[in-house]
Amino acid sequence: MWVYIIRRIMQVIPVLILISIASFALLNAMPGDPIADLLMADPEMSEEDVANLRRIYGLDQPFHTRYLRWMGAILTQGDLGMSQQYKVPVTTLIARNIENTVYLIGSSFILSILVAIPIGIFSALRQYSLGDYFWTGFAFFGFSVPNHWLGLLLLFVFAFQLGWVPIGGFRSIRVEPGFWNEFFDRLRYLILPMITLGISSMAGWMRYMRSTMLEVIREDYIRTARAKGVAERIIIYKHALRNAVLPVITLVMLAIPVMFGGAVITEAVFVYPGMGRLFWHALINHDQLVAMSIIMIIAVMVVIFNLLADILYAWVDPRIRYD
Amino acid sequence: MQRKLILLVLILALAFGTGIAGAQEKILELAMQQEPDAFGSMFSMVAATQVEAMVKPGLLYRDADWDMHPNIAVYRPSIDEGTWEVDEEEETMVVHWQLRDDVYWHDGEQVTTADYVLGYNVHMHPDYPAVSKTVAGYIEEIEVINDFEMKFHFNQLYPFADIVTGFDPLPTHVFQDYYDNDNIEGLIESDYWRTGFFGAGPYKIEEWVAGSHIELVANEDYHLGAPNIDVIVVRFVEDTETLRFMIEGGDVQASIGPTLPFDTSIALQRSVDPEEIHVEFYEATTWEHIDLNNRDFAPFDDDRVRRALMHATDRQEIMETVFEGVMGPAHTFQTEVHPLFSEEAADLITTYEYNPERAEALLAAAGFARDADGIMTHQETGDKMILDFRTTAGDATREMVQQIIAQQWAEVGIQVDINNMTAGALFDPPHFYRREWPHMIMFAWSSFPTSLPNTLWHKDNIPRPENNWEGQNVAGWYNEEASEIIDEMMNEMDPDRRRDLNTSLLQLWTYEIPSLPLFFRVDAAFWQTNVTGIQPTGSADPDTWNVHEWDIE
Repeated sequence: MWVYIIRRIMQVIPVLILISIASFALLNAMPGDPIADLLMADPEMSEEDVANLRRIYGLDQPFHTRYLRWMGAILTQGDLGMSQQYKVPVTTLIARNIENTVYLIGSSFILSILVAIPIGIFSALRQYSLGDYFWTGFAFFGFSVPNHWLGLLLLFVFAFQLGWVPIGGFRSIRVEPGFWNEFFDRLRYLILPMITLGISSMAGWMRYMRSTMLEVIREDYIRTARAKGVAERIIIYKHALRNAVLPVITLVMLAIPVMFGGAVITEAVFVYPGMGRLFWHALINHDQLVAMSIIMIIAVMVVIFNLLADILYAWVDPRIRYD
Repeated sequence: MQRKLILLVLILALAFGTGIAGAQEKILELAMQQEPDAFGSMFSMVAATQVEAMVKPGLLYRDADWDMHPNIAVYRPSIDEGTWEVDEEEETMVVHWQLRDDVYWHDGEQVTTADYVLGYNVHMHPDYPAVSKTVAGYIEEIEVINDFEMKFHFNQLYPFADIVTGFDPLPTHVFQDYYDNDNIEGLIESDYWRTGFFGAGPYKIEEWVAGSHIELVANEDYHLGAPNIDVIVVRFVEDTETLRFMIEGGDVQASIGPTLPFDTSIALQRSVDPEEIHVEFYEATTWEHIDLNNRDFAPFDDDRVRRALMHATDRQEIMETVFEGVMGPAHTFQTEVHPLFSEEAADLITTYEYNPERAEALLAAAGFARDADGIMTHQETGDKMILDFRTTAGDATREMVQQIIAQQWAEVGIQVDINNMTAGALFDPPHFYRREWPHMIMFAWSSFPTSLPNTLWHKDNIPRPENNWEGQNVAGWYNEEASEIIDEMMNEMDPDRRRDLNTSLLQLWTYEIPSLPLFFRVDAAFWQTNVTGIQPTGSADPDTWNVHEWDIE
């Protein structure tokens, strides 16, 4: 298995380098730069000020020099560079924001799985029942509703009108010390963004689980098991589910980097400080090295979760071997 | 089952019952739509100045009436009182500053002239990325007299030397070693500019949670008096609707600029009880206007055409429609509350009332007549008044103004083709400064009470290949007389004479009308009626100038 993993990692290195060149070129081609933004805010900046800042930030260098300098620093020192906007190392900036995003994406992910898998099974087993229709309707709502709109709707109903949870933020300013106090305080703030971010993946997985389950329970070996008098619970959870869940694993694993994209909007609506907001700010403020680093993190995540999906697939399905 | 239910209820009660501790303290939650990147002269953000003024005030501060008062300084230097010496022949100046002797950094060290010398030296270091070194660059040397007195020697005349220093002091006990060892990189990367930022102001930074809030606690030893409010939590809420919910729902007790845009603010004003939430509208110094490309479209070089465009624009209707008549239209590039603007100027400048007949007559005088398609066409050159009109896509206010103008101009035979772009694309230097926009762009310039018109209107500041496309005279106004007036203003130390020169400039400008002035942006601020003392300045100076006097009743 280790040979397989190492071979896969070796294969993705050139892919990651190509992604980095393409992303660097695209960000470079974006109109505007941080100095032009400063100039719009303060028209009294002199030509010398502008030239001086371009020199200090290396913006007077050609594209390939800047790329090679950036890549060289990553490979030799693990240094992602300095944020032009915040004037701190990019690693510091990312470390500061990643924890909250991990909580958000992690909790959304768990919520989505916990809801989607059982409901998908239920819908398949009770096909065309009232419950199945309800969850089908729910899934279509989840698919089609934009994150921003749903976030605002939830805020309006549960935070503004009912006052059950705070309107925005990620924790109270002052909390009584203690693990559980802090845990529940964070939970109050996390609950709405978690639902908002999780709802579309929840809807997708629910439908996928339903359809794969429907396929499996019509297979001959299920019919045989039933004919042999195997208990229905064992048929469903041991025989059917294990086979039905296989394609869902790939879908779920690849959804994590996608969730990261959804976090950009969700974090903005709920004033939740995380990587999504950091990425958005980096883009609009032309903070190239921060944006580049986050793109590369997402690229690496896609690669890792692809690999994880393959490994898990083989683990769940004994027919698959690492060759 | 019942036990499980009770346990669930208990957990939920715990979960949603945890609240804020320390209820005895006076805590103000204040929202802004922007989060500072950091503090100090490497950064330029409205949000940063609002917080910075609470933590690290300057030598002087500007109040809501735009008057200057001493803060860390004992007095404001004055030519009359001999604390500001001007040598007009040599074109040099000496400005005497005296610091209060009861000012302490938040870590307990006294603020002295050495901190100013260090601040100046760091600011002028070639590797220090200050946003602007222009004004500090006029200072040749800081002469230290003692711990509390110093003289700034200027190598040229500068009319605002009594107000602006162009740099900030830095605590020598923190940074002197960095400077002495030429460790500018270490200084730039220091936490001082962010979470470790401190000054000698009424509030100290207790905690900065990036992307969420800054918690400030009162500095009981503040030299202008201990603050009334114990804790101010500045929350950063970018999403307009979320911020509106927070203000309306009482999650924050106040919000100052940058805050809700005008349309949301007016909607909020209608929906809240004025007994509970006060909404303050005030004219800002951000000047919205249309620049014309007179280089590539010859008719714009004819001032009759530019005047015709002004007469074809019902700016009062724009203000009524977009801003509900809260403010009137702009007649010049300078707000009437600007220190340079005089009552005399208001009488002498040319103003343009809405008069489509007059617009058509002026276009006719410039050689235009309606073609068969109804579009004004130049009878000799064939230039048609089909104008490409660009602004920042997604800016609801600008897009609405653009639509109204398009309708109004259609009446006089001018067709407007709207071709909006993202802010990044519109202000991308090759597009913006090289005037790759064929006819017109609508945007805003920020200005300050100390802004002089040289950057925007001097002929030398027209971006062109010879100056590497630098300069902010994007309207391309080339007027020898105006440039001479501006040169004189730059070296004129007498405020009255400077105001007279400004009046002459405005007369010329409004007659030639190189840009089409629309309005000064209307900003808003909100606070619950039990919060007292907030007085927005509208001058781009921080609204937190008197934060130690704010209170919660």
